[in-house]
Amino acid sequence: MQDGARLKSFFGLALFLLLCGIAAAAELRGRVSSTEEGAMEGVLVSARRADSSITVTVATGNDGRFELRALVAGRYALSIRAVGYLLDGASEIDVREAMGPLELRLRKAPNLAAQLTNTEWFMSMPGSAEQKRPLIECMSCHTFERIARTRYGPGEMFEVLKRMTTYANNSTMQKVQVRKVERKYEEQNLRRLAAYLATVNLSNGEWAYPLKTLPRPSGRATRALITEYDMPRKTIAPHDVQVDAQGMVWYSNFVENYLGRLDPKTGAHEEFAWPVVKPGAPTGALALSSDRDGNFWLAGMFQTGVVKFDVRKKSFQVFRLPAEMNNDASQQSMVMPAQSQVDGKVWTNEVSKQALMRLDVKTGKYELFEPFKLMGGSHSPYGLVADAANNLFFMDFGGEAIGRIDAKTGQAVIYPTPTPRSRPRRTMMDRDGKVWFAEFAANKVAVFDPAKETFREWDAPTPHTYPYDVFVDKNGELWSGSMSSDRILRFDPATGKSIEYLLPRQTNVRRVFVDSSTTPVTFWVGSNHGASIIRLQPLD
Amino acid sequence: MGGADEHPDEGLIFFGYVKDARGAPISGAKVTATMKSGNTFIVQTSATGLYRLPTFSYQINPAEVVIACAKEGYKQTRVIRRPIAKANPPKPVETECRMERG
Repeated sequence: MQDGARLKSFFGLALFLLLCGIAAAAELRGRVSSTEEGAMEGVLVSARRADSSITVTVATGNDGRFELRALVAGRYALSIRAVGYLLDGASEIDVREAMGPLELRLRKAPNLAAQLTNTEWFMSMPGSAEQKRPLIECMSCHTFERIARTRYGPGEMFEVLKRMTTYANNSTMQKVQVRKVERKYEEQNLRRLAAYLATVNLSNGEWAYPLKTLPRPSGRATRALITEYDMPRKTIAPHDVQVDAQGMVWYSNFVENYLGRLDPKTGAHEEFAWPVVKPGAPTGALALSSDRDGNFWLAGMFQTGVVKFDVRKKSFQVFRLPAEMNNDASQQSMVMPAQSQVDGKVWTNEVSKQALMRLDVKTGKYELFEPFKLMGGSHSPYGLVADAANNLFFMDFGGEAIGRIDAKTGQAVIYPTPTPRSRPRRTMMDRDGKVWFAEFAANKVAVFDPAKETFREWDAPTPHTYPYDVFVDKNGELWSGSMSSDRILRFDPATGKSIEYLLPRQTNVRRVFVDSSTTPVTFWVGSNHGASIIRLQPLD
Repeated sequence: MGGADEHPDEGLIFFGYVKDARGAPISGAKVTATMKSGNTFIVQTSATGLYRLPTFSYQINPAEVVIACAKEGYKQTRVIRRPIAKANPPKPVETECRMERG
């Protein structure tokens, strides 16, 4: 175990002074139109003050109008998002008090491919669902444009895919990390995928399929204010984001050994470094979860073990795996300390053994639980949540089930989901003890009732959106994010109605968080590939 | 490159029906498969009374998997297992779980 935190970087003070120092509030309003459509609904208009790390975004209503209020007067960079279009005209503007409305004109984008989300690539590329299915692994690190623009034939593409198996899952384009041992793969599967990809890339000189796009937001989906906080380094990969009782935003960095903290009021950003305990292994943490005392725990990924951050002392305690449990493939992606006050135990997973582990915080000893031992097939316990007695519910991300481990007996019960090959990913428990989760590969959100041992599943409204996580807010509404469509799903299970908010930039969504202390609630998410943290405030 | 996408259907399969005394299918019944390790798998029957467990490894001895069914208002009377034809790899195991009111 090692202690010691290092206060790393600190920025945003200048911005804070700017925000406070200039009292006069200006607003930016106007109308967006194009020759093709006239007034345009659902166009995202973003403004970012010069030298600021904060971008604010609203969507146009059905009359094409938008309004960004309470801006500090000054020079702003303007940008828009409307697939198929670009801003025609100045992209910088002086925002002053009492200025008249802007007329923003859009023109057709010459390079549509550069604007497509992965969902739109999935829609556009010909091929069967089975052929496309393995591509959901690719988007953990990059967009499909990268694949579609290659000119490789099947043989060359196979070599590329083989190289991909050597990278850690906690890799981004800004920080590629090599695994100590390569991922297991079956040659015939890789060859099949390579052959398919060579039919949808530029190996024949052009794309022999039209590029399809999703509709722009409309109606309620245009009624939100989005604030994006850029991180001070491009390599920062926010994975799990959580807001504490004081309104501070904490996040795990997927590729670097830092715990980050953002003050959304000022934009001030701080990082706390935790030690590299396994040199040569990829760095970074995945899950971030708090215990009853408000201290944060990180799952140490390939660094292995779990890490506790004492919020008051600002110090870390690393609970390393003992040598006999630690191997080159050892990986802890999840940690669940939320009910550790019950029995002094914190749950985690061991990806390399398809297993769960439980840490005794006092002794630092880990116990191993192998519910899938001798089961065969593909399994990988992933998202974790604990009930009031610290019994564990886990998602079998490798397969098609959720499981429960009894805290007292250690016995596991596995509940296969109604939809096969659903690959349940992250989870949360609501006030009634129901387990909500995302069925990543099935494109569904679902709930499991532990009392009745029954499931309910709902299709995500847009195909190929691959929900990663879910969060149920105080109103019983469910929030989820797509890893592929840059859209945030708000879903009411009582009515079956859903809204999909579009985010202003390419955003690889992972863990989602809803702050229910505000009305309406406030949604938070990290941009895993985009080095930013995003706040979405619905206006209704 | 991993996950459930490799060999989705290769391995030992348990499937079957839950029926009442007259042979009518019972939907929404809980079917429990208990392994030698003590770990259990729990699934619900469909509208036609059908259940199917996830695929197990061939290392599992089918004779050591205990199938039971339950539903509120019913009690289990017996579990019929169709004779398993010797085959390599083993054939799917079909069971019929009978319940009656009470």
